Amino acid sequence: MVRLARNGDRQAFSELVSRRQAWVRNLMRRSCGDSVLADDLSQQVFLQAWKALPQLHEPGKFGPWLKRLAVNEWLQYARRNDPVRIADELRDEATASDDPARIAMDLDAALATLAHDARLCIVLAYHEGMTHDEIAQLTDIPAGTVKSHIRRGTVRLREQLAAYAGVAGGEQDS
Amino acid sequence: MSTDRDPLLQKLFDVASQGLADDAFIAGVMSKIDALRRRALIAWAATGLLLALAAWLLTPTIVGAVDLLSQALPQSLVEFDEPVALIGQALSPLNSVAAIVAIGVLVIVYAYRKIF
Repeated sequence: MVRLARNGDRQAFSELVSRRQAWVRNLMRRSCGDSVLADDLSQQVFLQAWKALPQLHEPGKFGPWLKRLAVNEWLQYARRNDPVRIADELRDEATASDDPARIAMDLDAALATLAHDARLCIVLAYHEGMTHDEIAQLTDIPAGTVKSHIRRGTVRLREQLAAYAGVAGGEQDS
Repeated sequence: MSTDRDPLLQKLFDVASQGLADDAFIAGVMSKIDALRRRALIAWAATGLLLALAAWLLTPTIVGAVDLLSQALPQSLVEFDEPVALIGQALSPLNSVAAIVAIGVLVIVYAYRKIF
């Protein structure tokens, strides 16, 4: 499929977009907390992928390559716009819900209070399951800083999403 | 593994990673790609047109230059008269503007390779 798309096959690329879009869009949604902006950035990622695909020599590495494009797109946007929101602008502490859409909104709102580098580290750790070293390698942020971002970010998110402790996974808390 | 992920946050991230309606998104991406392809096609066509126009406008000049070169290159540098005409014939491969130009090019290429 990647080989076909690399040779300019529109249908093959459309299939690749179909398979990867949810992953890229969720990554962007968690990173920027705005579904419209997230979809715009995700579209940019796929446009860049289309343009740069002929330079991808190993089709088997399409996934990691796309991940790097997505992270770079977000970093470029974040550095241009510094989209950190002030915590006071957000609504009051999240009240627990078991609706996935509501959970996503509360999570995005909590994430939006973190600085963009910290947010990206948290998203890559939790959304992507990446290790500190992998995040450091992907984002060019020093490993120590990644660790510190994740530790502090986790504490902050736990505070803001404390209401969920009794609902989602609360039984795992000590 | 060098991570210490919080179980509650991990669960919230997992739940939040919902399936998203994809039709409109894919259509949006593909329409932008189609626009990109159209623009690329127009750019190629415009470049081809410009090249064709330039060739059409410059053809008389280029033909004139080629004509001038074809007359100048075989010109002998030194004329050998009757007593030494045989020497002139022996040196004829080197005794021309073309030979000097060829030697010049070879020297430049050699020097370039030596320096870089």
